Amino acid sequence: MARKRGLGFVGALWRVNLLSAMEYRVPFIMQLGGMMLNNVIYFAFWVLFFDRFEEVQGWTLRDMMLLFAVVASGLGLAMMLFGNCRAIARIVAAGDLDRYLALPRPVLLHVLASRSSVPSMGDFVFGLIWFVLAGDVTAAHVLRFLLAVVLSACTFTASLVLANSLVFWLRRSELLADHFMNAMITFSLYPGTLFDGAARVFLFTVVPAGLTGALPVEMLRDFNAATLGWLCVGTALLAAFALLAFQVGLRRYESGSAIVARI
Amino acid sequence: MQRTLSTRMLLNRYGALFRMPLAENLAEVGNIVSAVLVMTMFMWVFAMLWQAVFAAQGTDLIAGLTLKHTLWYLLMAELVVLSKPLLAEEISDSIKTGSIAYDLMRPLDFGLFHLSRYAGHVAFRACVNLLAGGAVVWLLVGPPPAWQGLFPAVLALMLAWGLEFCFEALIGLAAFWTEDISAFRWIHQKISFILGGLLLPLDFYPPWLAAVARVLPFASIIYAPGRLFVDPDAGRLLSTLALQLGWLVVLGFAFRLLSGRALRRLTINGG
Repeated sequence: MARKRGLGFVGALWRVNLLSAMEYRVPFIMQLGGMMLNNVIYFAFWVLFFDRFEEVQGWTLRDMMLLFAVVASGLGLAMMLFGNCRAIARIVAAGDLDRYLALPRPVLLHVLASRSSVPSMGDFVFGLIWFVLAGDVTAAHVLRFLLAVVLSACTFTASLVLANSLVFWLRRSELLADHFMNAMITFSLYPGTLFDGAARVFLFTVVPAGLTGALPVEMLRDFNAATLGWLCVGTALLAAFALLAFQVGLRRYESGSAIVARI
Repeated sequence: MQRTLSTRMLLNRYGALFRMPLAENLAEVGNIVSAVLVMTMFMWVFAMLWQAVFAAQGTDLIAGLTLKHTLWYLLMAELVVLSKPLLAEEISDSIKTGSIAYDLMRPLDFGLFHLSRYAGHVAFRACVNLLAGGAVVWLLVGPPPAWQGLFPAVLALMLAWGLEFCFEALIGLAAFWTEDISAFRWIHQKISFILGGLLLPLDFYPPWLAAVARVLPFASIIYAPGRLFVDPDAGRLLSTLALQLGWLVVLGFAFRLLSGRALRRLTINGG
């Protein structure tokens, strides 16, 4: 019963976020369309690249399309549903966590779902279109893609919560959190086979971009239970660490005593 | 005498505006550390990618460029992009919040006010980025292929940032007509990346596209300084500077025209 009420609360937050974003129609459409166009133009780099070199370490243009589809939809989904995962450090540093602590709702869930990013909706739609354009739209492949997107979104959310939770110990770590997010996106959008040895370990631990792009695409290219298992275990571990870091860090939080009205 | 004094006073004012961002950046150690991290990350990823490409092609030379040429070129291209401040956002925010009123009250030219601050930010960030990125590339592929390319590249870089200033200011001023400029910023950024050759030197493009891209202002901003740096020659230097100056006149005129019209539209409500 309590869980049902919790889901209803999150659903209500998402509804309010969507309605407030759509209140300003022109900026809403411009941001959504602009982000999609932005991604299309960015992908032109890889079209030119593979026109010249055909393949790099076993990756072709189609694999890059799948990679862009998974990463864009995964990141888009994460930022649409839990847009504040990238802003926790700023919220804590400004003492704005008080408003969430005063309410009888799960703090982390409330913080995360309180913001939806409009441009990310453009990312999400772009990813779906890119997946269709990459071909192989069979029922099984669509299911695998959706699973890959959900796991990628969970990884993005968890790793950003983890990076942003450093603010409880380092205080001014907003810039670090921003760079962490940029690193996640940058490394996610390159063929996974480029990185081996220590670089590969780095991309599955310190900056777990391997879990948001390369591994989900590996699962799409050649589906097997082992890859899916590794992906699920990695995502679950990250989510557990993120939850733990936020809960432990929250005990160190000191109110900014700011008096703010939330309307 | 009067004229000389006022010119000197103006130079002092704009000089102070140029020095202010230097002090701001020096005070924020986090900005320096993050600039070093970002530059290191990008050059490392590029090195991985291009080492794999050259190995797969089984050759030391692609479209006249070696791996060393390519990585030093990419460093200069990243230097242009990563060293500039977010001017469009700054202008747009000042329009939306109304703080532009304070900027206009100052006895300074609107364009030169922003240009002085922009140049201060660029000067500081470019030094940090060049040192960080240069160290990474040097470690990976050795010293630059031609030291004599440094001076022509610095000349081209200054004009490149002048052109980028015009683009950013034009996008920022669009906030007078539209509520949100982010879509313009993203699209300008990505078109610059592709037609400027940020991720792939234009020499690797299909010939027809490379020919078109080379005459556009985006290549004058991103491609030209890096290409001059790795392969300097007098002919390339002259044609690059001529093209950059030509585009600077066009974009500078567009900025003057648009800023004049935009500021005439400005209505400030109360105080």
